[in-house]
Amino acid sequence: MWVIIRWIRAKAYPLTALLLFGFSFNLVLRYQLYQHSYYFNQSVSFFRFLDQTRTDITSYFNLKSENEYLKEENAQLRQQLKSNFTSKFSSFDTAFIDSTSGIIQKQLYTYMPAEVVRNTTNKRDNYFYINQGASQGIETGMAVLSPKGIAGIVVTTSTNYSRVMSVLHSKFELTPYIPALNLRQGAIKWEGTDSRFGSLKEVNRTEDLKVGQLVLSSNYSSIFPPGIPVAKIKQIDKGYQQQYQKIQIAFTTDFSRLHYVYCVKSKSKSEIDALTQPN
Amino acid sequence: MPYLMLFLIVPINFDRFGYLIVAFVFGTFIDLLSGSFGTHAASCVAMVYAKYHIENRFIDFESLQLQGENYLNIRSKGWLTFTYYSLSLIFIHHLVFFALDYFSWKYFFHTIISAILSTLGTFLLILLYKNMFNK
Repeated sequence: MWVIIRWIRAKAYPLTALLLFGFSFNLVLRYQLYQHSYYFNQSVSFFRFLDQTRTDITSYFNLKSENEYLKEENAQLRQQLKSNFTSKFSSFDTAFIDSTSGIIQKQLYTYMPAEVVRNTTNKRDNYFYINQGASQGIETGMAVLSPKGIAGIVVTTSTNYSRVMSVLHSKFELTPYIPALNLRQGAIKWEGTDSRFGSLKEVNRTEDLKVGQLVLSSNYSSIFPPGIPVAKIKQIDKGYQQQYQKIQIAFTTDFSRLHYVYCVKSKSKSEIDALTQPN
Repeated sequence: MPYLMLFLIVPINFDRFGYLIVAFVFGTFIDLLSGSFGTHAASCVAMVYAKYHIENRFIDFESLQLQGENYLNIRSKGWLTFTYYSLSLIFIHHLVFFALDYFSWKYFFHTIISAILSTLGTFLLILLYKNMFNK
């Protein structure tokens, strides 16, 4: 300890100079636009490089669990194929290719696989980054799905990377669809505390929800394809003389283990958005 | 940037820590007026730090004090010493300033050339002021 203090006393003058210089350098980086953007670009590309390298290395270690994921997802896909007409989602206007009826083979959603290179779950507003960008056809406003459920919405794209607003974000909102009640009401939000649980808001107290019911994405969203699993109802609190119920839901996606994701491009989005534009 | 003359005429027995802080505040004021946050402050601090070391290594202050001078000027040490001294200090200041201003390795030679040319300009202006007030 004394050694450190003695050293500081001996080097007080260079340290003061360094401190003042560093402070003004910080001012330059923070308040001068050109320097700020230059520094920001350099550091971002540097850290993207680091992240990419790390992902390249760690993806080998995760191969086993990823295989499990893929197996699960394949099973899910096969199930959908077999039960195109008898599944409980069949009342839903699914927009996947209707290969059995063959009436209108119109594909509304195209899927692009991507890999997550950076992810946070411990902030109030979480983002993650995927290694696909504008040159691969990613656009802002595309939905991002994980094998088990929804994951987020693309907010910014660069040439080879994209920034995705996670479901764990204060601005994220989605209308749920609860197939057991044929209910399309309320909003799925994240409260900012636990990355595993979200809440379902603005559902009337008259709706008879039950713990364990599946919450899907509804066809009201122009971003997410309908029928994608979002969460399961975990806890219901009707409160005392309140209009809305307090519902806690457990996300089906494990956001701390996001690795392989799918970006979904909706072909109807631009048309729907054009209709909702005020004239 | 002829305001650097103010740094050259600061007395030699001025408190060195206070001198650093004065340089920083002075640079910040110039930054505020010219809208370049931190650039002048950083270069002034760098120059004052370099000045301390240059004075310790290369300038014989005891003879200066014996001559009754507070700071290095042409009259006491001659043209050559004064030119080397002020040119090197001004060059350090300008180098830091332009490095922070261009802020890219791409403009390395731009930085050097701007620093050298501005150093000459500043030095001429300083000589001009000195001659104006010494007459």
